[in-house]
Amino acid sequence: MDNKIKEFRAKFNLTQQELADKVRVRRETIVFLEKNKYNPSLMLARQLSRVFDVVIEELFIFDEEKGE
Amino acid sequence: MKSFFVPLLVLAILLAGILLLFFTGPLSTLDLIQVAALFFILAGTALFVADRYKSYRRREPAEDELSKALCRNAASASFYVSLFLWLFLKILSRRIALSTGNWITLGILGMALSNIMIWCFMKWRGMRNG
Repeated sequence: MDNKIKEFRAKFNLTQQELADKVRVRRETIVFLEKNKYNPSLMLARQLSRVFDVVIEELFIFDEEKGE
Repeated sequence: MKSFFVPLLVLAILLAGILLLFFTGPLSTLDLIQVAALFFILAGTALFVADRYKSYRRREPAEDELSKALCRNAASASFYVSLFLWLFLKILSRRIALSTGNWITLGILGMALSNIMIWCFMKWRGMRNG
């Protein structure tokens, strides 16, 4: 599962720390998410999509073939 | 508070173990292996504490879903590694003569070491499907 967190973060002019504070996680989690090293929980994905005011499918790219 | 107390307790136990080893006469090869393992565990624990301290300085939550998942997955993976480690030690005990206490010490150190190594590995590699 890929995501567009980095692009949206740049668009909203947010630092990783600011985004982490908004969704109440550690900055490391945002780093892992942006590097595609971690798939977030549904709750975190929802919080992130709310920050960027988009639907989850717009922020996260689901790969149907890989099942991710 | 818990995330600082537990590593500090581990550090205290490890330091006590090292001191005990150094004050019990000349060190054998086995003692040296145990001291080396203790130092690796100590280094891993220091990394863990530093990680938590960095979050504390940034006023972030000490634990979040990623850090919890890392600990949980490292613990479950090291459980399986430990099973094979104990089996390996059991087979080895038929060939090498050591006291039961020494085998247990080696097993416990191996378990702690495997947990810390797997945690470091997962932190470095990430956990896409975790």
